[in-house]
Amino acid sequence: MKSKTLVAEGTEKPKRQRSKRDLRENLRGWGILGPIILYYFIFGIIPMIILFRYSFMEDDLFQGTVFVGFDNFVEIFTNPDYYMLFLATILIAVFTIGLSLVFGMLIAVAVTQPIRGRGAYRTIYYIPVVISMAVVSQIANVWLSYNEGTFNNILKALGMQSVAWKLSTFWMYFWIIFICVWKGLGATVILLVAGLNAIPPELYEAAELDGAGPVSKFFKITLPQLRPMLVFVMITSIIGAFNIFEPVQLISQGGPDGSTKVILYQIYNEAFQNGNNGMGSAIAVVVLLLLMGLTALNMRFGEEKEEK
Amino acid sequence: MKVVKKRTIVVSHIFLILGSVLMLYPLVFAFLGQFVSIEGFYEVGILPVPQGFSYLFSNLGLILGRTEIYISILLTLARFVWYSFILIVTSVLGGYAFAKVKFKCKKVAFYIIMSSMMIPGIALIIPQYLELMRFPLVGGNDIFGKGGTGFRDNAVLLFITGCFSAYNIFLVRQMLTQMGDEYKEAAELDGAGFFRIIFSIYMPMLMPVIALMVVQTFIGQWNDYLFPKIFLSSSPDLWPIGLLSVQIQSDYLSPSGTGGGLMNYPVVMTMGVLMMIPPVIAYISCQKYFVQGLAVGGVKA
Repeated sequence: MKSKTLVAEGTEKPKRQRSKRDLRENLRGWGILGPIILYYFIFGIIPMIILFRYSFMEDDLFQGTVFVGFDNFVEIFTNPDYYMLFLATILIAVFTIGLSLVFGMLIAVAVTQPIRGRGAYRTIYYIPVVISMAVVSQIANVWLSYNEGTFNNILKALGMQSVAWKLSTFWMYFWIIFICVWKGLGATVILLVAGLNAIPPELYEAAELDGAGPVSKFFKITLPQLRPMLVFVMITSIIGAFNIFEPVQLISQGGPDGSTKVILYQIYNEAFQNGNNGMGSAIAVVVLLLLMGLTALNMRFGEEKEEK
Repeated sequence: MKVVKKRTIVVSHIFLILGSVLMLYPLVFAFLGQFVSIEGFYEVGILPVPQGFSYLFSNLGLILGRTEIYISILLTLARFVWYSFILIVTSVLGGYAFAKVKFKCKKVAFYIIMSSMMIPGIALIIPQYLELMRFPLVGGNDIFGKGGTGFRDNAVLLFITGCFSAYNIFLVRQMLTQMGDEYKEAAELDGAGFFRIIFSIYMPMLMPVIALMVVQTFIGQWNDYLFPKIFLSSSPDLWPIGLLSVQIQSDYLSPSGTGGGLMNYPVVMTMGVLMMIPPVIAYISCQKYFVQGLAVGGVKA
């Protein structure tokens, strides 16, 4: 209330003083935001223009960069080498997100019970999030080595055959997904715990009076109340899944037979190993449009959340 | 008060302990693996059995004997200081402008800056690289960006991208909007200047967000692997520790890197542990900001 009256007094000041004040406020606002917008223009907007321009180009060894129209995009959607990238990424994403949500939910529910050591548990589950994915991938390389690897040592000790982990598509997917879930679980848990704590306890009390058991309470109250948070977690996880790079580059190297090539790895390969910026850009454009759609969806759900 | 059955508590504990074991397994494995001999590591099962401190010291000797590691750590710390500084400045000033300054076309400016959140990093890699290598008037380039090499192999690359975060600006704006204008008006009556109001009145109240930004910047910079891998692949002397450490691990993961000798797995473990310690300490000591910040961001973003 107090601030309102002060603003009202301000507007009653003589006109010249007010316009001087307006000018000063404009200078301050644009003085701060102008440089930021200029920076964004140089390092955000111009690159986007370059990206779209390059997606219609091809780097040719003899002719330099040539315009090829929609050729790159046609290639992406017709050549299995390229559309399989999206399927591989989606496959890893689906399993990573599914497992993270199921285990994250179980952990979040367990950790919000009035038990001792809740803080310690939350700390432990979040630790992998702050550790370098690349360093962990290198440690995983020690486990998965064929001859002296730790996992094969364990199998041998159990009297079983060694497994050529890196020559098996199944096992490479398995370990990439495993590492991604291990690394990201803590972030999912923290968000779900925040969502669970925001559910009003009266809802549970009312349900208890009606004689609802724990299972029906979970499905009738917890899940519906948590829906906006679940959507948020899901969409941020999908965006995260498109950024999977280190385990693929360091452990599977896209193999065996290119079966674990994911999008970011291929963009890196096309542009920085094969020198084909055009193809890399075209892949990036497809990802950009996909993720923009998802982010827009996320913002819409976010607004819904705020309205509640 | 909610009554919880004893069985629920016991089941929760068992489940959480099993999960914690899985979460900590790679860390414990790497930690114990440092105390094992090279040959001994080829026999390691579920967990390495420590054989003696001398192995740890020889691993440390191999890693700390590489002089490039010190420059690399200095570069990483320089990046951390610079990005903390510039992110605090842009986020606090930007957030303040949106929350407390009345200027024309504020909505337009807001939408322009927030639109940067729609651009995923993955789409920026190639064009930013192309742009920086053809940057006008840098590295022998003419005004049209032709003729030279731009920022190729230039240390400036380590400090030039990602100098503002729309998300952080948004977060600061949200917090400042909730704080009300009374402080500002009172300070103005006392004759405090514009920047003084921001930095000595509002900034102390923004400390939780700022602390979160600093810790996240530290962890991000310490672990940064992809950016130098792409932008500075040809200049190893400019690699931050996030990339150099992985390169050192690679050296000992293949027989060629160890001069045709045995693969030195214990060094891989020691390097891993050295890389894990700083971010884990940073996280644990600033944990309360993490939980607050992520909760604010998660629920309200």
